[in-house]
Amino acid sequence: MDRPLFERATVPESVLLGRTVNIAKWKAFDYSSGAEQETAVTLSVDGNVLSDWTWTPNEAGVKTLVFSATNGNGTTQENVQVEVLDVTSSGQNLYLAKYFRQENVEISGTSSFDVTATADGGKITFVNPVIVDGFRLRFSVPADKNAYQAIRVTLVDTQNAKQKLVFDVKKNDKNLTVDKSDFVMGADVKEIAGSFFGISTIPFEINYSVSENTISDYLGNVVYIVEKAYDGSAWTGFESGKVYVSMEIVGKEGDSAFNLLSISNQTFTGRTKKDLIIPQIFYNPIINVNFGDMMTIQPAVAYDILSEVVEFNVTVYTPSGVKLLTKADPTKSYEFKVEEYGAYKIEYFVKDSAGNDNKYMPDILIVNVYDKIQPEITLNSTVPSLVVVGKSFSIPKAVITDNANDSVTLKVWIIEPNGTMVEVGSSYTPTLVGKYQLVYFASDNSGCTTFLTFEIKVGR
Amino acid sequence: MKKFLLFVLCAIMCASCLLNSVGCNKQIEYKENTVQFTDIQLYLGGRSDYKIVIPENATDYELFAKDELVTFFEQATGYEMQVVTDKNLTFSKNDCYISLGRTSLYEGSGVVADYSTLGRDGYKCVLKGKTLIICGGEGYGTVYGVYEFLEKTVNWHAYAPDEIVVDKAYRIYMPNFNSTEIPDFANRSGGYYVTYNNKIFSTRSRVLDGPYNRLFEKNGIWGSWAHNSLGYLPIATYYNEHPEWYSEDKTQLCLSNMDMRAEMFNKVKQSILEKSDSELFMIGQEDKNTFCTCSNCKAITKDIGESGLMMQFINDIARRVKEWQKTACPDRKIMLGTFAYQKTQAPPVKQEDTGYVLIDNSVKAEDNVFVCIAPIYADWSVPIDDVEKNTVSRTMINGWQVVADNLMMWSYCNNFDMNLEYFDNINVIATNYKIFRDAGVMFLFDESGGTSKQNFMFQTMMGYIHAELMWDCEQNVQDMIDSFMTAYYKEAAEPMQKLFNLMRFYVTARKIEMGKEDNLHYGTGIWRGDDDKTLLNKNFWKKSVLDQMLGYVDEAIALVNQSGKTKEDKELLINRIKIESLTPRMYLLHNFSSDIDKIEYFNMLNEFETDMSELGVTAVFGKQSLSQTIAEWRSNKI
Repeated sequence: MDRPLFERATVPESVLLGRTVNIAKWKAFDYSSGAEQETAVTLSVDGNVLSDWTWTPNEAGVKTLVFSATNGNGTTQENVQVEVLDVTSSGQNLYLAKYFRQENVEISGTSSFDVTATADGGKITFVNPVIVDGFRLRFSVPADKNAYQAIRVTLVDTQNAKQKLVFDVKKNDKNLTVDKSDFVMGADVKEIAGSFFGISTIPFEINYSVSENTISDYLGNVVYIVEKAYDGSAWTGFESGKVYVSMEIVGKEGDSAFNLLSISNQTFTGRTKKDLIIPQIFYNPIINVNFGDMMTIQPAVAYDILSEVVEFNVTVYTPSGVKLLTKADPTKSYEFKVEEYGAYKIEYFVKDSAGNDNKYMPDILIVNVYDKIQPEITLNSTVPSLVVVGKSFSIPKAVITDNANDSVTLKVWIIEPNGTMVEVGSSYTPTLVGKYQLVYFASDNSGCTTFLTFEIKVGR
Repeated sequence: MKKFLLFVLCAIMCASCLLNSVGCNKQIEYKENTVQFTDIQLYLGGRSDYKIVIPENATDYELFAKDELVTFFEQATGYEMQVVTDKNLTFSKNDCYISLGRTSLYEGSGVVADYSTLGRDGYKCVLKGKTLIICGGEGYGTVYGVYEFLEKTVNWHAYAPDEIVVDKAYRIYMPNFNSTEIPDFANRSGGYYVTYNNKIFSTRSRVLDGPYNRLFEKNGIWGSWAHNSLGYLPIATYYNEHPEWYSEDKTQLCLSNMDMRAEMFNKVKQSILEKSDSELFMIGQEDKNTFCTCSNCKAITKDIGESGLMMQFINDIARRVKEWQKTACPDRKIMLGTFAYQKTQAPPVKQEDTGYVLIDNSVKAEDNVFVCIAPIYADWSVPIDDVEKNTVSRTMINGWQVVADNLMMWSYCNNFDMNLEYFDNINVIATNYKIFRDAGVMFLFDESGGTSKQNFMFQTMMGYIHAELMWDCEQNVQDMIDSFMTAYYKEAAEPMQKLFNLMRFYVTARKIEMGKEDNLHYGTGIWRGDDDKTLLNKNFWKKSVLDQMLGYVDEAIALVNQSGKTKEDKELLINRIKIESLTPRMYLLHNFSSDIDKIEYFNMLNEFETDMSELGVTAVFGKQSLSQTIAEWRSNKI
């Protein structure tokens, strides 16, 4: 008789000691009645049931997550081992190595972050989920430790385990003198910038574009357009927006290593002793907002690759400096009516558990509301077309009207025959016979401008 | 109204009106600078009694003058004027001839051209009876005289290599010529792409092509040019045996070394003999802000400065050349040049109550020496002698006049790091040129993009204006702008004029505003430099004003498309318009990516890249490739 069947979700290979993690929920289905019936799945660790599937490990080491589902025919159980990593800062070198689950590798280096395989299949897995929008993985291969076939990169969605990409950056023995290697995904072989043979300083780089579903290299060239997941199903992207990243040395024949340079905005060196990177903020730009429109501020996300975000808020200023929001929750959506021309300022503040914040490098989204209506210039008298050299004449006064309730700059110039622009007031005395120009130039705060030009002949 | 249709003896257009504004009844007399015509018929409906006369042994210049006259007169009338030589011809005031150069007609006409005054480029145009005498100086004078004839008869103007205009004519009367024209600067060189790289067009613009030659000279006026001191004494040749001839860092010569001077003299002699038709031989320091710091040089410069030592050096070589020349080539005019530039920009003078005086008599330039003043750090948006903003340049201009009677001016009119930057000098070009003229500058070089098509906004027009002002810096700048716009953009002239005006007015106004906000002076330099020397600064711009500029561009293109022109003519005009749109588009793409929708921005980027390539403009920022710039902008947007 059939017991319930699991539909698995992603389980992290490692988690951080003391950091609460949401385990993606598994499903189970009972077919004993002949029809599909979803049945509850229980998750427990060390005999304790995690009722809401959140887990805060309190002990380092390997732990077993027990998934179980029961029907009348019995219990289906599956155990998954997860390593709990302790990243408590010791203030010593190779602090960042603690963030990796390490299998058959040694991590060393000072200015570099060297991952050396001690056996074939040497692998590192980054403990934290990485935001996939703007994802970038950068590494290089030392020419004297290239005795292996490939570096295998795995990206798996933090929720849906089927949304997984596995590809090899592979040594191409035919290209010893060019900065090219093979990029292999399934049966497809493409070219990627970078070399296993120390040809130049170009590193390997994997950039993933969420909007295009493409992988591009260090030079910006699209290497691969993703159409299928690892299991052969049609590619639908990483739905959670975050992935787990692992890198594995494949085909080890001798000294085998790579230098990890960065994962997204986190650079890696052996000498790093603590988290120094300010969390990243992801928000959608707001463009083409007109006066009188409703402006929507979409939810924003703050993320730190190493630490937890402990403070995240948003303050919104109108162009005249009035606060529309003060330290509000940016993960929510807000809507305002646009009633001023100029620059609306949306200022995000973020801070992580390591104390890194953006106080001195604030993330500010400027939304410009453009006035598209030009000021109008009206003159209170006629501009003379002919005047006498050496005698003062009156400059007609200009009256400016403009839709926007802001200041309009008015400049009045005489352009002399030699091209010199002289700013003038109520009168001007020409010193040469010839053609002059009188210019009225009005510009409002938004840069809408109007100008009038008049030719004035100067005779005797 | 076309000038040649007027039959006006002493045609002076007088406009009169009551002086309402000052409340009196006095009439104002205003005279347009129009052509005065005689009643002598030069051409009527496919016929002319006039023939062109050239010397039997005409020079290359005279032959070229004849060809230009025939070509453009025919373009205006469809009539090919006959050409004869002066063999067996004598002057008679009733003969209908246009005499070019030193013909027998000129000799018999009583017209006296003082060739020493006319120099190479000056000329005389005199109507004697019915015969027109055009006689130029030793070089291009006669050619330029022909251009004046064409200007006054068929409204000829050389605006651009592909825009030489003449009016179509049915009847033409002979203007009442009686003029002597001598350019404000004996030597003129426009550094704009259009004149730099086109010998024919630079001749028609009355400037040298680049700093170098024109049509017919073998070597050209320059025997050696610019930063070439190590070209005379290459390190590869001399350094091993004579390291003491060079500065410690090997970037300059050690000017106090007498053995070096002796060898320099030998090399200069050799160059003078090789370049048998050249007149100017520059021995210019290298293009580095360095100077020799050996103990000898230091001891001298302590008292008279780097420029004082440099003057002693060039004077020494000049005296040797002068002495040698007495027997070697006594008839040649040879001048040696040096730079007032970088370490030697400060003149070797001191300020006294009476003005500047020499710091030492040894620094006074010999009469066969010229000094090339190159104020590379000047602000080109204000006069070069501006008391507040160009104090260094002001001292250079005023001080070097005391040191040398012969000055060359190396001016600048381009930002070399930002090829599309609007170069804000229209308000002061004429003023600066007058300053140079009044300082007695004999050679004016205004450096721009030169051999590369850098193309900042309205570069072709600026090239035209610069060349015109080099000839006569009293001309009305606005008239030149107006005539260029009409001739070059045709149907699109009005919106293009507005585009230019908006850029000019906005930049002028905004620089003042920004200066008040930042307490900085926003000037115009030739490198990317700091924020206050470039318009690339986002704070400088408002998106609306750039949009407004591009609105004028759209309007201009629409007017061309609506015209009845051929497809090819439309394409030519649209390309002329598009090339001027690159500057506001660059400011928009560089500064406002966050204000433009992603897809729209990428479309704008693609169009910009395509237009740049199709228009032959190779880069936005100095040596950075166009594709690199586009990639950076694209990546910023992502």
